[in-house]
Amino acid sequence: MTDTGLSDTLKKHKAFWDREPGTGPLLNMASVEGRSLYAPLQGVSIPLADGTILSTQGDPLTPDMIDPTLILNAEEFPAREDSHKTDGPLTVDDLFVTRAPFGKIPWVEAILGCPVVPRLDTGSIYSAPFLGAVELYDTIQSPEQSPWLDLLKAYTGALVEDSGGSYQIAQCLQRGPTDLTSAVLGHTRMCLALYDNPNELKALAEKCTETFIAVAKAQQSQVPALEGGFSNPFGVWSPGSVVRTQCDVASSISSDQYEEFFFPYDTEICKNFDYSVVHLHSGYLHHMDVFLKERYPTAVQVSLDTGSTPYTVSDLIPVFSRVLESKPLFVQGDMTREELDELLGALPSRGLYVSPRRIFDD
Amino acid sequence: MDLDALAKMVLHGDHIGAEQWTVEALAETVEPKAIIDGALIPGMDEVGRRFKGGEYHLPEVLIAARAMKASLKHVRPLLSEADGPSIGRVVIGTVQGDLHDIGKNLVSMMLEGAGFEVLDLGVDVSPEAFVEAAEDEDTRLVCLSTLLTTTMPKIAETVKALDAAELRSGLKVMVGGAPVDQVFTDQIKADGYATDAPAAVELAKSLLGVGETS
Repeated sequence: MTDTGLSDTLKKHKAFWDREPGTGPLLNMASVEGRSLYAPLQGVSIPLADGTILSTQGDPLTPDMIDPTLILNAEEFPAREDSHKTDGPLTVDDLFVTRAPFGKIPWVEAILGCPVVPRLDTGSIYSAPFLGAVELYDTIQSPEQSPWLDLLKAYTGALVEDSGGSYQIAQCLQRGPTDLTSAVLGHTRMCLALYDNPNELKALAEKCTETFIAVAKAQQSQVPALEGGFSNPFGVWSPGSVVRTQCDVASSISSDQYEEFFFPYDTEICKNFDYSVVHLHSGYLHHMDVFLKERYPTAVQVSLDTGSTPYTVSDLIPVFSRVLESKPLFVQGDMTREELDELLGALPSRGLYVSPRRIFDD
Repeated sequence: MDLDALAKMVLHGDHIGAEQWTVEALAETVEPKAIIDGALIPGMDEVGRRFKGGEYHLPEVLIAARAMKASLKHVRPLLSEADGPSIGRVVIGTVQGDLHDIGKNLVSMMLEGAGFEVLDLGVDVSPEAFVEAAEDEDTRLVCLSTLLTTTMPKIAETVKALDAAELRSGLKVMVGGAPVDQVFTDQIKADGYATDAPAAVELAKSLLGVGETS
């Protein structure tokens, strides 16, 4: 990439964050065209540090079983062949090619103390709840005590070395305080704690928040800045530090409960970074207004649900329009060509990012 | 004693009050079946309506179900043959490879609240385990749940296993979970799918030909 090309791309990305009139949208067609910006999570055989391939399930993985370099080399990464042929950062269309520490590992949950359990039949790695009661929140270890954090740092270091500046390194997949409290306690216990132990639940959410921030900062401190900024997992650069959080579990509680119990902690995460994105699902946007009231998060990302979700793209356009009145919006997911056209036609282009994962003909 | 009071305790998730009320009511010779039909089922019906309407969310359903169970544990052992069987035995579980239990638990609790006898097999349940549980002659319905797209094939596999065991003529199969839709349900030849827990209860009643509970 030429210096002029880089400069233009960075300007477009800054304009996205600023929702500058007359700019946008950022359109990521890479997945549709088979040129994914990032390494996919599925279909990877996991090589272990002892030279074998992960072949048993049910027994927890431990950090000593994982050698980041082995996984890095095994992971399908479409830009690998290109990554050493360029002097500057790789882009696809107007977006940066990014890569993050292995997305199948639930890093923050592991650092909090959750056992990490592989399932070969589904290709997933789960975190299992481990905290017997919410009152035990104070027994959670500090992140510095966890060998998983050491492994994550080693993984990030390996990515930095492998990239050599050719691709951007994004934060690993980190779930936010709502999801983390559910992960360490179990979802049912978390829901009951809303009524039975509200203060302890808030204290647990605070612990999870501290760990989340420590994990994100530990990675960002290792990643070389690009013109003073960093890229997020969507391939968008920001002129400063950036964080992505999520609250999938908020889908099962009321907007008021989310706002009282968890939003303050998501806000705390966002305040620790210059730019922030909260990940939501299109089937569960009943708490969207909470995110639009305040400055944080500075952007919203919505993944389009399929299956039994009751909402179509047409249903979502009024919600998306409301978001774009005050914040940048990332929309990502499967859609038809008509739905893509509808999104691009109905929504203001400034501050809009659209990434179809697959496009269907009908 | 006022059965409405117990129904309200269920509705508001007061499990301590519900248990205490039930113990006192039974001591005063209130009929166990009257407690179920006059308080627990109407209470959980209202919980279902509020959940469907968006007024209640998962935590409210969980505390309501806890209150129902606190009462039911005193009532159930006192039910006699004369009170009649439950309206149907249901086997429910999350399919193999999936450890998510919330949707399944929700359906399980609401079915129990509607008067079904529920055998909850838990999560990560193999097709063979579903078949074994369904072989009980009282089983009238099997409910298969998943949250993951990657485990949807296990639903199909379980339906096939029930077919292979020649159990389908005597029971119905319902499926549910975020990635499931009617197209998938038709493809795997299940009997029905529901988008949420209250809809699952209605579908279960409909599939089994159960009228509105009295």
